[in-house]
Order: sequence, then C-alpha cells, then structure tokens
Amino acid sequence: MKKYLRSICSTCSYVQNCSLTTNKSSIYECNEYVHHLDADYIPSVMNLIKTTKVDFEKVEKRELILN
Amino acid sequence: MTTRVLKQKKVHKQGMLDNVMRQFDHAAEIIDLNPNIRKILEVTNNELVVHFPVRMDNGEVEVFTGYRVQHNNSLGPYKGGLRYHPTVDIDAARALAMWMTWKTSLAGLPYGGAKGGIQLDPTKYSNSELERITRRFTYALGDNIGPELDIPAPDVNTNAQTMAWILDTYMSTKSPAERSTNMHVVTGKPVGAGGSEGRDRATGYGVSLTIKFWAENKKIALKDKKFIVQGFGNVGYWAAHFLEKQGAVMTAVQDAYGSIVNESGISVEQLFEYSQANKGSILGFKDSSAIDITNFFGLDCDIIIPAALGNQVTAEIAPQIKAALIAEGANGPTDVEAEEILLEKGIDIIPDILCNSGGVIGSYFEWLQNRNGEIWQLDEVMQKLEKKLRESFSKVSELSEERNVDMRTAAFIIAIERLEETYIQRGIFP
Repeated sequence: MKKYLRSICSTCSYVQNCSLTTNKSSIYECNEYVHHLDADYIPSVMNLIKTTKVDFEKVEKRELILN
Repeated sequence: MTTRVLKQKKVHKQGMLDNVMRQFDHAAEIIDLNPNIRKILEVTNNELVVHFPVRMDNGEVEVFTGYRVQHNNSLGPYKGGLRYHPTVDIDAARALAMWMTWKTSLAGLPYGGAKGGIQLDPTKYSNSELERITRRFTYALGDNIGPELDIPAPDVNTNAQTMAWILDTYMSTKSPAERSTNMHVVTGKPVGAGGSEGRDRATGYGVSLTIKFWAENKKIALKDKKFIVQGFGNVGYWAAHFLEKQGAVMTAVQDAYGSIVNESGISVEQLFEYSQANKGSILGFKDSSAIDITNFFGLDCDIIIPAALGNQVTAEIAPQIKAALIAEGANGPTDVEAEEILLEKGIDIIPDILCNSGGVIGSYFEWLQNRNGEIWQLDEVMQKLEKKLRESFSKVSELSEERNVDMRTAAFIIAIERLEETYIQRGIFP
C-alpha cells in the first residue's frame, strides 16, 4: 500500500476493490472507512461477564469461606 | 485595536492545510477581517509532540510518536478527534484542528478546535497492544488534555472503546474525590461509560435536518422527492433513514462495494438489514440493478448526499448533475472548480461545515450531560439537536441572502466573525 502513503485508504479493508473513488492518493477522511478496532475487537469487559455467567451456578453451590 | 502587519515568508502548504487556508482566506477577505486577528487565527496556539515507550506482546519495547495540535480556544475548550494512522503528522493535525475551530464556531458551541493522534499502522498491533498504546499516550498527554481544556473524540481507527480507555486512564491519574468529575474529558464514549443516547445517529440526522430546513426555505415538499446517497455507513444510512421518514424516496446508493439503483425507490430499512446480513455490502439487493461508478452523481434525482469521502464532485462530473441540491454529509466532497460550475447552474450546496455538524453538536450534548450529571433521553437529544441546527441553518441562509454569497462562504463568514467578535471584546492580554 506504499502508493497510498498520504491517504487513510492505505489501511482500509476496502482499498483493493473500493468503488467509491479511483483517486485514493490523498483521502484524509471517509465515512466508509473500516475502523481497525471495530473489525475484530471484543471488549474484555464482555468476556468477564460471560465467564461470570458460566460459573454462576457452580458458585451458588459452593460454601462461602470467610478468612 | 491598532494593527501593524509584518511581512511574512510565504510558506508553501500542501493538501488539506492548503484547502482549509484557502477557505479561510476567502472568507477573511470578504469580511475584511482585522489583520491582527487574522494573524492569530492563521497559526495554532499549541503543538504538542510526545514520544512514549510501550511494551509489546513479545516483550520488546517500541517508542511511538503522538501529536496534539490545539488551534484556538477563544470560544471554549479545544475539541477534536484523535486518529491512529501512519499519515498522522503535525501538518495534517494542524489543518484538521483549524477546521474544527471553524466548525464549532459556526455551530455556536463553546469550543475551540484541536486534532491529534499517533503515527502508527493499527493493523500491525494486537488489541491489547493498542490498549497499552492508548493508555500510555493519555499519560504522556497528561494535563494538556482535560474536560475544561481539551476534549478528544474518536476519529480514524479510534472508537468508543478507545475513548473509554482514555477516560479510564485520565481518571486514574486524579484523586478519588476528583475522578467522577472528569467524565467529560472525552466524548464519543460507549453509552454505558458516560456516552450519550443518539450520538450514533447525530451526524446523519443532522444531514436530514439541514435538507428539511432547505426545503422549508424553498417552500418545497420533501414528499416523493428522489435522493441518492454515496456511502451507506453511519452517516449515509441515518440521513437516508430520516429523509425517508419525511416522505422522500431513495433511488440509488453507492458504497465501497458498488452502486445500486431503482427509480421506483429502495427501502432504506430493508437495504440496511440486507447489508448487515451481507458483510456490509449493498450489492445484490432485490429489485435493484448495479450501475457504472462514473455515472452515479449524474443520475436523475432531486437531492444528492455525498456521505462518504472528499473530492467526489469534480469539474468533470459537475456538468452532468441534474439534482437541485447537494447536501455534504462528508467533509469536502465538492471541489472548488465543481462548486463554481454547480452554483452557476443554480444548484444549491449545503456545505459540509454546516451539513455534517450534527456530530460535533451531539458530542457537545454528551459533554454537557457528563458535566451536569444528567442523562438525557433519546427524544430529548434529538429535539435539542434540531433546535441547535435550525439556528445555525437560519443564520447561514439569512447571511447568504443578505450578502449575496453562497452558503459555504456564508458559513465561514459566520464562524470567523464569531471569533473576531470574541477577540475584539476581550482584547489581547496583556
């Protein structure tokens, strides 16, 4: 993507086949840009909640030990 | 105020900065802007460059370069996005910061303009690395940002999650008693972390509102008016959604995958559901046919909404345009030569600085809610947005008629005159 060094297109997922423009050399803003974090990011907080939910029944049956 | 203008060396500016300066110069000449104030607005207040180390997943340490350019704060705290991209540098940040000053001024908000980011290719880093980079950058910025000083927002490759990391890091550097009073250090947060209802649709709703106000001014009913949209992302979709509610008919859409057309109308909701189920692509939607990219803006319609990217309406395309209105949902979609042709043809243009300002107004509402400890309902947010945008639109429209200038020039005049007034009233310290 070296030819788009001055453009945000250089890191966009659509760059190879984007039909919006043929001039991808100096794009500084695009509402169709795929944000890197949005593509595959699962917030860690969500993982924690999921883990808690799975273990919840087991926890209920456990005895509470106070130190 | 007495003035003495020093002859300055002509500095060659490129690309974005050149465009922003050209628009500013044009408006400044029309209003005969005070030369001293012109000197102030032509340069940025502060430019911060930080180098900071971050430990990578493999144990190695990498040093990153981050920027924050604060253009002007005469109307209130600096406001602007943070982007993560290899193209981030001081020149790009300067231009975008200056652009934010005009935008917030026109919208009548108590904000100035800023922009910044980190020079990196986000695709090369894991999410946990990006989180550490964000947190370390926030720490490096320190008290150069703050809820009453400089309020960052999402931009390219940064999103609500990034803002939540910045908020959490910034708050952690404060004493426990102060922490909750700093929620408004960033906007564009997730709703659960202090974000605002309606922020997702604010820009697109704003675009549809400015079209509605334009139609009211022209005494035109939007019912059955045909519109076409370039970009079916957050801005394009919501603009189309609200226009359809007003009775207008979407006849063509273009996104990164291609363009579709149906003269009888395309259902916005059905297309949205289809694209969601089709990895974001609109291609293959029922009762529509694909068209050639070069003809898109030449399609027979009443309203064109370029809601994707800049420089789309060019001098080559402009003569083919049949629409009565271009509503600039994206930033800079119409180039200077094309604009001259369009205005000559009697085609109206709602300029980007006004048309897509719903986004920054939405951010202002989020900031206000955090600042005042309030949570507004969606309908309240939408109502306030309409009121604010109507005020901006009326001012631009009235000034455009009064001074016989196009709407873009009128918008810049209003933005710059508001700043000029502030400087004249307050004077220059000492």
